[in-house]
Amino acid sequence: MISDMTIELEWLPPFRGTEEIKCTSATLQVRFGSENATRFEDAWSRSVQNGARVSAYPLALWLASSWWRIRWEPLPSRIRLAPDEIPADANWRMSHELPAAGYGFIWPRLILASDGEAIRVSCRRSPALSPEPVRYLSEFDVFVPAQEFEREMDNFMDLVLRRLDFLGQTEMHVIWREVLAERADPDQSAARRLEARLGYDPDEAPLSLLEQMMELASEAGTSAADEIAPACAGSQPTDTLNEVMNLASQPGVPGRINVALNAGVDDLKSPPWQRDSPACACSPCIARFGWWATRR
Amino acid sequence: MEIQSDFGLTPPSAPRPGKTLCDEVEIQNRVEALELLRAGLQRGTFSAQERDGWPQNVWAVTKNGEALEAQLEGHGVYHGYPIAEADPFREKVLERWTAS
Repeated sequence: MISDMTIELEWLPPFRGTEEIKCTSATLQVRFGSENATRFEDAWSRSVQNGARVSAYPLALWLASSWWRIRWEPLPSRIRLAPDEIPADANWRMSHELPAAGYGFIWPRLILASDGEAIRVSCRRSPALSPEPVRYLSEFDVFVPAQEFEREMDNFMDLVLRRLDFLGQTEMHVIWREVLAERADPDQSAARRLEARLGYDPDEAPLSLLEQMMELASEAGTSAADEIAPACAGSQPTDTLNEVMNLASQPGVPGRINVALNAGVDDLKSPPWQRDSPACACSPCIARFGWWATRR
Repeated sequence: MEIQSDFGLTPPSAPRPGKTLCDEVEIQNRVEALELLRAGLQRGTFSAQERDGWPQNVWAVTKNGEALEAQLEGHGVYHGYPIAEADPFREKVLERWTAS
């Protein structure tokens, strides 16, 4: 189901913590159409609440740090192609699952993955027997058009940054300014997009791999590179890319595909991944440990 | 060095007197919390990012296998809390703690 997205903040008296945490203490509501991802059962007050009491700062910081991967990186193919709930590895989850925002807050389990045109949002309820005092209640899957997602993210970041302005230049100011500058520059944007689709955080992809992918994009087109990059994501991305390039240089096998010419044409309103099947299934899981040193 | 765990913290939901997030992981007092902080520093489970010589984060695991994170608040003063079940970083802390 295609859905709009709304993030609402109502500022609260400061929780304890750093100045950034204090001044962005808030009741947060994240809604997708009629679904509310932040509806939760509060074990301590024994009531159901519609908005989570958190600080907006860690959420904004996580969204800014993960922006390129959330916007452009799909689910790992071994998960995308399996109908059951195979968990992604921790490295992928760190950049796509909202609880990674951390800072001691209990966040709803929202999983964000992209196919380029839309962001797939999966919300999972907390386990019924969880000992944690906050249990989120919603469970749904929706697709948010990428432009709508970007717009709502930008609005949320502006709101948080305005709140932080009186503290001077915070880490959040610096990271978001970089993201905006990269988005505005076509060359940097193209590189970040490929880097994300390869499963890397900004500046983590090997330069030679990125250059190889950029060269491929200039030869075969951006769409082809966009399809190939996630298939190469994993522990041996360069080897996988070389394998793909080798296969592409082969003469191929003659064959006939028995598909009606108008297949899929009438289906443009469906989420992209319901329109056709993913092109490639050869991506192993991502296995990196970069987060350890940079976790804040 | 001082640890300020969730004793008295306003948590992300309305607090009930006498009940804190640290109760959930059976940390009863500041001495236990401080021991865990020291253990994290000794085992090397802390962040590369630092402020005034103090690591921004220190991680530890309780004897019951609960992963904890301490966040630097001031000079040698940390605020500690359990890492939420759904946080994927919890898995990394448990792995690293076991390997250290």
